[in-house]
Amino acid sequence: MNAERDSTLEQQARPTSPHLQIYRWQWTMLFSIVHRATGLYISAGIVFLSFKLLTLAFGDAEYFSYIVMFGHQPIFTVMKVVFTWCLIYHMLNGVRHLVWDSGAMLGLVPARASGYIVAVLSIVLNLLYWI
Amino acid sequence: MAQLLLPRNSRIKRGKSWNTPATPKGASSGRKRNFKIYRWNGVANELPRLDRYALDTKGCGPMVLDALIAIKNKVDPSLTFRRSCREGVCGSCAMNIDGTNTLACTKPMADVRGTINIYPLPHCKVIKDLVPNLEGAYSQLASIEPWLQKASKVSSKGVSKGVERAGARERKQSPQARAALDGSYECILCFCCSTSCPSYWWNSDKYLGPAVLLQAYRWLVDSRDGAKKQRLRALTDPFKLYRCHTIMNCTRTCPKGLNPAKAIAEIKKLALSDYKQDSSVKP
Repeated sequence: MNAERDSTLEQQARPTSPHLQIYRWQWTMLFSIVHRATGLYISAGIVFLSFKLLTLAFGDAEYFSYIVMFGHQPIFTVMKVVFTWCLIYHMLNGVRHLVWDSGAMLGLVPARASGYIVAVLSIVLNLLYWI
Repeated sequence: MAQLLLPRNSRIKRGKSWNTPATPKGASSGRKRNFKIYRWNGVANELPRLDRYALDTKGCGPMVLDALIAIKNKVDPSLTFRRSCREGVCGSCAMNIDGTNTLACTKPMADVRGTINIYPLPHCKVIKDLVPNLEGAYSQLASIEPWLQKASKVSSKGVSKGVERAGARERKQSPQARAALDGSYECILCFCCSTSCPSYWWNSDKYLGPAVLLQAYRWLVDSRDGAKKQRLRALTDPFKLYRCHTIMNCTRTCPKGLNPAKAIAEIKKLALSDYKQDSSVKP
């Protein structure tokens, strides 16, 4: 009965209350959306990585053309640094999710602390990797 | 599918500015607090608006609900909101205050710096002003059958220990078994958590949301309930339970300090052990 009433034109005409527009940004949503975004970035990066591997497999000429296309672009270096950070963050936060799946660390304090630890640690590890 | 922007009929326009009637001469005035409050008068094709109120808080109680009542009494009688108990046990005055969902009656104005922004619970159809339509959430609650069930005769495997035939005897519960319900029975069903959850915003038609899942958990761990297996089966589809991505907005916002995210994780564990149990039976 309720479902029927919900689908009427009357319900359609009602405004939807604001959500993303007004909800206060906080660590909960932040770490979650960053996990998603890094996952997407890695997926895109993997395409580049497999392209590099393919050119390697096909021989010197192809690999050389790959280097010419991307190797000397400063923007490509930035993209690579971002890629490794995404990989590290996604992996560390994945561990956080695994721990959560065991039912542990789901209190607000450990969840928040682990989130910040992952964020800081991922930046530190990425720096160590590139320096 | 996630619709990140508000539909055309929901975009908020600038509203009116209201002032507390001038204080009579000689009477002292208190601290002024500014409010921005979401208004929609129930007329289709009219856009919601954000009205501004300046309230003299002298003689007004400390909570946001006190201010809302003062505004309704002294400034603008057309302002509409739900309220009842004024002490955080009924869940009627759940709304979005200063960016997070909470109960207006237990939220001190002193907690908010500057203008106090008040909106209805997020991503709901609005009935009027701060009153959201929660019928969808209520029917989801009904769908998990939130009542004590005896073990059905068909699947006698699901009978939990100590459950007697219905009507034969009182269903007793040890203090330890009773303690398993702590943290879930206290929920007042204000739906602050469900309407704070981005996953619920995008999939409220299929995902049950933290409030309802906390109740589902409450019945799953009740030692007197005999329908555990059926309850678990009913929850395990791609949406009802597993659209929880452990964002934890629910636990962060719960005005009663409960932890729906933890309860959902525990349901996932129960579902897994139920699955393992079943697959181990097969050769």
